[in-house]
Amino acid sequence: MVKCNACGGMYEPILSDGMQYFHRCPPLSRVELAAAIDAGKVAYPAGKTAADYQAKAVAAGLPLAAASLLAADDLLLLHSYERTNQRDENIVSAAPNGAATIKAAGAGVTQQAPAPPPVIKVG
Amino acid sequence: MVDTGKVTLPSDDSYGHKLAAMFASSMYMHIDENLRITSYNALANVRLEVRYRFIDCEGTLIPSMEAQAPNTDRSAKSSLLLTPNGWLLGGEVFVSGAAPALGQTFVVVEIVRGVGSNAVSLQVIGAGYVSAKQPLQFPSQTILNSLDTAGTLRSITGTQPGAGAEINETVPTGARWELVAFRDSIVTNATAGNRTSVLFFDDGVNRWSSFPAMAVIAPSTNSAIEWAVGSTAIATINGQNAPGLIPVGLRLPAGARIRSTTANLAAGDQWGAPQYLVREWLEGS
Repeated sequence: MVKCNACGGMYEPILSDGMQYFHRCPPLSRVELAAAIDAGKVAYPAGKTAADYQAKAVAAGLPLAAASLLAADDLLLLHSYERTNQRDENIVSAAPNGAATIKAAGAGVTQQAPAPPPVIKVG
Repeated sequence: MVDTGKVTLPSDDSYGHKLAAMFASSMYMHIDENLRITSYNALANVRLEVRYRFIDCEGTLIPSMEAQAPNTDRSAKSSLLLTPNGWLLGGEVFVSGAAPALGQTFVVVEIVRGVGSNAVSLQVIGAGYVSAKQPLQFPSQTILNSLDTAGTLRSITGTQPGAGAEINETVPTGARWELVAFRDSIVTNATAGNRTSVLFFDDGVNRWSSFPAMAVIAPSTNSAIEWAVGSTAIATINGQNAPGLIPVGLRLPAGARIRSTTANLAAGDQWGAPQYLVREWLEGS
């Protein structure tokens, strides 16, 4: 089991059927995008401000902190947001016998303890 | 008189060429022509065995055995088998060293002119999936395309996303998938608002279709969500299952993604590792 240092995803590089697994980081979820908005890494939708979304949150009975989540919901209707350090283990097509390389090593992975077995025998 | 099975002919090369011309055959191979085996494989520890018989212009029967260790990432691996001047009688390719299902190891056998990476392909004489039990014969009248078969069924455990992240599974380079069933579980925290999950597909960038789960997921619950071909849109069972539909025969090319998007997903919500069933074909890369 390994953990992707970019997205936090956990996976087995070799599956139980003996075949390789090729991880690719997901685009940012609404939660992650909202955090990016709060951190100033992503701008509010064109023509909108934080105050607009705070007013929208209050009108919906949500806390002010939900403003960036509402903005993220709107942004995700328009774009997909990928991580700059994303990992994509799928290989680049090469000529026969050419060295296979992965598309993006990203932030790398960290080895984890093996996942517990899906079947436990008792008795 | 003892029949040795060997016909002795004059060793004069021009005579051999005349003989080859007299007995014109698509399996006659000039000294500059060779066999090339190209494999596309997705399983570890597969070893290809290539066995064939050749008769040269001296009338000598030459049985040969070669082997190749294919790549395991669906990329092409080629091996050149040097042959003398004469006739290819026939041969076979089969698997040893592992037990791929039919659909995991595809082989192309060709006659090429020259050697090395610059060898020019002249004629495909065999192509198809191979296993330990089902060899590929050559020359063959039936040249299979890797997409011609029923494919192989695979049950895959995907990536468990980080907390607050969504599901993202990618069709590997060199593969084509047909999604049959998809299951995941989600543990929601106490953040207010029902979650509504949608399974959708994109080409790596652009979304092309979406399939919502048929039930919402409440805060502070642990729910399993299943999407399947031909699934019946029933209500939740004990509040735990939220079945969804996916279309029949949904083919996904390499690079396409199976993703989720969840309305009201909270930072503390946690998807599990998805388990899904696909039918896979090799396209090679």
